[in-house]
Amino acid sequence: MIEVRHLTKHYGDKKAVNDISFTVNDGEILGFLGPNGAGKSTTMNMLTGYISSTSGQALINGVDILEDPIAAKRNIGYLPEIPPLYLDMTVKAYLNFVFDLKKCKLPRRSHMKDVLTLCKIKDVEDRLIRNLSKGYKQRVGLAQALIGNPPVLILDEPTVGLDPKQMVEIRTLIKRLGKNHTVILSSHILSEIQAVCDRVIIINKGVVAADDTATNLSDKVTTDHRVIARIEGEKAAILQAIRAIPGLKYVRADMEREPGIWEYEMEAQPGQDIRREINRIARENEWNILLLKTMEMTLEDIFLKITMGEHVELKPKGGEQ
Amino acid sequence: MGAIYRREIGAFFTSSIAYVFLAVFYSITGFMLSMENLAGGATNLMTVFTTMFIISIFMIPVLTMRLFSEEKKQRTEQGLLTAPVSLTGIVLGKYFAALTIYVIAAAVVFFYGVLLSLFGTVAWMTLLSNFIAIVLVGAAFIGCRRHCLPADVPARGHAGEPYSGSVAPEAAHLSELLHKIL
Repeated sequence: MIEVRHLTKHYGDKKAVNDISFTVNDGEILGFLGPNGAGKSTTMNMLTGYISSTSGQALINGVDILEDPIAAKRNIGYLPEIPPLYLDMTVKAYLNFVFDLKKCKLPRRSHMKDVLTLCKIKDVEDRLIRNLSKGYKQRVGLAQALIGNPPVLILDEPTVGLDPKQMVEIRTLIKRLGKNHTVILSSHILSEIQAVCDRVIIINKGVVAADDTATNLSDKVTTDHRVIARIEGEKAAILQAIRAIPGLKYVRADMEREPGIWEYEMEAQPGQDIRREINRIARENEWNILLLKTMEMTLEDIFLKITMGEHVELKPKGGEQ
Repeated sequence: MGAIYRREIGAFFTSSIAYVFLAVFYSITGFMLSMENLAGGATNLMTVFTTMFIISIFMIPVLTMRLFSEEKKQRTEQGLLTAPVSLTGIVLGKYFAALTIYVIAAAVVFFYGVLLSLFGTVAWMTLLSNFIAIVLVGAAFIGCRRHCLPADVPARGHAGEPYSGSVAPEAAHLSELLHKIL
């Protein structure tokens, strides 16, 4: 279990991480989402004891990382953004080194074999790390985090540089590991976070912008007051008729999707479902509706909106804004 | 610490730094030996030791410079600092690895002693004490190079002071003393 309380990191005047608090329970997979420079890696570095925090606490299984770093680090398997690989060693020699470094008490041969097989690097175990491809290097990095079977795994962009097949493999692996490990995963690939993580934290400019499950986040922002419609008819007249709907915030002709047929994007007041109004208007004017749907926000939309500073209306369902 | 020690020794030889160091050491001192002792017919190894002292000043950096700069370059320091090993453990592991290579170099002096004993009597105790002195000098020099640690030491209250070897002053003092005696 990981507890972060009011973690802050200042670099002079710059607040890289500003009062971040969250908890990760045992067996949970948490996704860290945020643009570059948001403070994701800084937070992870503070959690693993690589850098010190300016204020605040980070507790790994109840142990404060700054009070008792050795005990805390024993519980952590960390894969940094750039895997700490010694290029002049072979895979097996390197992992043995990590085994000794972590003072692992597990039976060496069987544990090594397990980790090598799990990360699918058994066939390159005698190769120099310098000679491995990026994908293999990444997997060796993941393997070193798994040595010692630490209860907490902190993975900074674990699938970067992997081909799609390998990405799926690693994601499946992480999901499996998540069953009996506590995992924090940071990524830019939103679909990955959505697929693997139970909860998502969106960090922007050093603060937590959102903290909830992926589905909840989508739910909170999915609205039926945003509608996309493709209507066959004269553009100006359509716009005029739609603008007449009471409570409408805006409508705009988005794109000419089919010859002579525009797609209209419109938004009404929160909670107001205008689809029936659209139907009525179309019937009255004898226009054909070729497409009518509510605009759902994917995690990507939420992410972009939040990080671009737009106000995202989250229904107050007991979550944080 | 043991894991780091073993890795660094291995790395010294894989990167051939150890071979270069030993080669330079052996060849220059061997040259001095043949000029001064074999040709000159003296069993006083003073020149050899003096040469060793001077070589050390230039060659020790060869040993130590890659100890931390490699880590920084390859970003492996992150791996070390997030592992359950103390900063002291990391530094000592590397320190003793460098010292071991140095001792292997300095130990050639015993070979020279054996060589010279074929021609005359060798004052073994003097040899030994000189050897210890040169090892301490090396230990001091290696200790002095320990100033390139990552700036942000993860402990509350440290503002990133560069680490300085505490072994160095003691060893330097001791070796000065021994050198004066000899």
